Order: sequence, then structure tokens, then C-alpha cells
Amino acid sequence: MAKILVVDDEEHIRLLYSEELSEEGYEVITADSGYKLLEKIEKEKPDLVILDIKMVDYNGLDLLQDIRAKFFDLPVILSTAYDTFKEDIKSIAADYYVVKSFDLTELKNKIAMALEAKYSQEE
Amino acid sequence: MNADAQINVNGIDQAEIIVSIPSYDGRYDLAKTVSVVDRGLSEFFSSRNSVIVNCDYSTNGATKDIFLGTETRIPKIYIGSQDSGGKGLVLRASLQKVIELNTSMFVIVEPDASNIQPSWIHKLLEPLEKNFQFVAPLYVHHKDEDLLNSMLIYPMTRSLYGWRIRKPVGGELALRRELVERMLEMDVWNQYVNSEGLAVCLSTLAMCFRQPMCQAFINQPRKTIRKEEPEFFSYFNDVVGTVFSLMEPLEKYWKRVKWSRPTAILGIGSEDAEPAEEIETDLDGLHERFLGGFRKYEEFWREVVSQSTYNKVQEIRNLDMNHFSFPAQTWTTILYDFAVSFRGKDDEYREHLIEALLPLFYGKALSYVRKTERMSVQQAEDAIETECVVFEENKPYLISRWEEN
Repeated sequence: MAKILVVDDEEHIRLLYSEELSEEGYEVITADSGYKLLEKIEKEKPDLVILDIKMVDYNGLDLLQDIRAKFFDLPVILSTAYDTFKEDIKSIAADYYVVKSFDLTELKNKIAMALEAKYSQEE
Repeated sequence: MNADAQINVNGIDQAEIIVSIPSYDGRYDLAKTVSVVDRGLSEFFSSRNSVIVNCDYSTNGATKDIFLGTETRIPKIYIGSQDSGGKGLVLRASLQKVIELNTSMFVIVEPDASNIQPSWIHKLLEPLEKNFQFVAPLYVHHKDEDLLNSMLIYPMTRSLYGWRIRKPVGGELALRRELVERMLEMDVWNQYVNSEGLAVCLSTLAMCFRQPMCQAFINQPRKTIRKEEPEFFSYFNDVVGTVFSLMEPLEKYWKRVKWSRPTAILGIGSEDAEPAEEIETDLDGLHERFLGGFRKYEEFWREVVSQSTYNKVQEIRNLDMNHFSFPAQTWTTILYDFAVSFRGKDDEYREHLIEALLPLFYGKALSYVRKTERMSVQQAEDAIETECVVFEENKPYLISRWEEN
């Protein structure tokens, strides 16, 4: 069972993602900010991270840079309300991005693709 | 490689950092490049033991005096080759120096960038100190620049090996020793790699080995002279030949890969990026070269690509300039069909095959330039990303054709 870390400062998003992704068979853990995120990743060893771009205290794109520098092949999906972040070159380091929605079909597809890509390279 | 052609001016027998600069018949300002590299190493890595190596594949050794005569604080080693080897062959000799000099970090710097800065050396080497094994450059660029990379090399390497390295063709690259050692053990050093294909080969091997790799953001455009015919065909032949030829020895790596993964971007600072210069693309010239291909290669194309793809190419032929479009699906299957046809053939056939691909490439380049005419660089990048996904989605087609061949 793949373990997914959801990093988002909005509680309803964390709840929504947790419920729906658990139903898909994923083990879901959450974080409500970027505080000590790298330590959390080190300890929990998730297979994939869903990262909110705009949190009150943290910039998701900066966190993405930190994650990539330490865990170069950990899949990260950016979760965002708008896609204007694409103008920032840092966003290239994400596997995929999804615009936040109550319909998680796209997110689930992207999770499947990112995990499939990671596992195919590990074989 | 003729070992007698090496001149180790300062008797260097150990170096933590090697910066290797290839040169050919004094075509570019080698002295300037050497001076900039010297400043970069002196300014940012003064506590390190470094050496600058010139890999000279000139026919007359003209650049030797320029290299050795350029005053530097960093010691230098000259490696010359007057045999029939190309750039890749002499650069490989400098890769061997990594072992000989017990080097931990290796950088290739091409001399054709007229605006190279000392900071580029820093940006390329810094990630290696953070334990990345491979660093490719990511320059500011004009959307129409280096279309061979954007339309062919990047989508192919990305879909085959599953890593998004936007500029696998170099010009500058950096590697750690561990990766160099593994690369030298591989049986991949063919005529294409030994010519202009070395950077693509090194990028490809780094992807296969799945070591930590990243792209160094260089907030400037890489200013160089655009390659025109016939030099462009020679370059096209070498880099496309490298991609196709590596598919055989690296089959076990690329066949298992699905989709693609991003790579880290390092070196993004707060300073503003310098904008790229405007480029004027000769749309009529591209169109004429595309149509000219039908006169010479129409029957050959019919043999190489599937009937449905061939029919599509004929449809594209009939489109006027205002409606010209070369769909990603057609381009993808063409490249996959050509890659399969390349497999196991003799040199003569392969040269003809790559030559026959060139007019189709011009058609694809024309389509992209027209499509992105009114787009920003970011929008054009998104368009390239969308095309790359088509390559990834169609990979099962490549694998099935590869296996039946």
C-alpha cells in the first residue's frame, strides 16, 4: 500500500483528501504546514507528497525545492487554487499539479501516474 | 587516442575538479573561455585543487598555442588528437583523466558561448557539492531556439528514460566521479557519441543510472552562433544517431520506464533573468525544405513509417503555410518508426535514414514555430510539455514495434 503525505493548511482539504484517497487503498498521513517537513518525510518515508502551494506560513514552491534537494526521486504533486504558479520556474520540479476541486478524479489519475513512473524506474 | 598528444604543463597528478573544454581549429574564442573558466574556479573554488583541460580535435593543432598561451592561475593540461576522432572522442580522453587524477568533480564547458560567465562554473559545480551526481544546464532561451532539442531530443530522451532534463544536449554539463566511472564501463561509445553526441550520451546514461540529478538554472541566454546547413546536418546526424543508437545497448533501461519524472532546479536566485535575444526563423525556408523531402525520400518514408502515418504526412504536405500543422501524434510515431528502423542496420543505411528524417523535422519545426508565434515563452514551454506527454502515451507503440522487429 502506497503511503501519501498531504501537506495543506486547510483542514477540509486534508480531510477530503484523506477520506477519498484512503478509500482508494492508500495510506494517508497529513501535515498542516511546512514546519519540519523534511524531518517528517525522513521519518515517515511517504511514497508521494501532495503539496499545497500557498500556505499561510510557507511557500509550497520553496518547500518543493527543499524536498527535491534532499529526496530527488520522491514524487510531488502540487495542489493549487490557480495555475498562475507555472510562471515560476521552481514549479518545473513537481511531477504534476492539480487545481483544487471536490472532484478528485484528476488528482487520483496523477497519483497513479506518478507512482507508476517511480516504480517503473525502480524495477 | 594518441597519448603522445598530451601536454601536462605543470605536471599535475591530482585534481579535485577538472573543467574540460573541447576545441576545433580555433573556431571560437578559446582564450576567452579559458580565462572565464579560470576566473570561475579561482573565484568560487579557490580552496580546491583544479585543472583546466583542453580537448583539442583540430586537424592542424592550431588551438594548442592559444590554450597553452592563455595566462591562468589554474594549471592546464592539453589533450590533442589529430586522428580521425571527433569531439566526443577527445572529451572521453578527458573523462579518463578523472580516474588518473583522482578527481571528484568534472565539468564540460563548450567554447561556443560568447557570453559565458564565471558564475556558470559555480552554478554547475555547486550541486555536485550537495551530492547531486549529474548537473545539466537550464538557460534562459528564446522559444524558437534549439528546435532540434525541443522537438526531438528532449521528448525522445524524456519518454525513453523517464527523466525531464530539458537540455540533454549540453553545452555545459557537470558530473561526479562515481558516475564517470560507471559511464566509462558502458559499451556505448560509438561513432555518433564520439562526434557531437557525447553530451546526449552522458545525459542519457545519468538517467539510466537513476542517480541524483538536477538542472542548474543559468539566468542568462546562452549566446552562440546558430548552426546552418551543412554543419547543421552533421550535428543533426550525430545527436539523432546518438539517441537512436543508444536504444540498443540501453534497451533494458528504457523499456521498463513509464511516464516521466521531474528533476530538481538549483541556482534560482533573486536576481532577474536576462531576456533572450529575438530570433527570426525562416518559415518559408523550413516549408521548402519539408516539401523538398518528398522529391527525394517519399518512397523511403513509405518503407519506414506505418501506412496511416504516411497518409498523414501526405495530408500535411497539402496544407498551405497559413494552415500548416504537424500533429504531435504523427511526429511521435514517425520518430518511433525511425528509431525501430535504425536498429541493427549498417552505417550506410543509418546515414540515409537520418538524412531522410531531416525534412520531416523541418516540417515539425515549422509547425511549432507557427503554433507558438503569439505565445509567451511559458506558453510555448507548456506546448512542448503537452507534446512530450504524447510521446509518453505512445511508448507502448514503440515497445510493440521494437519487439516485433
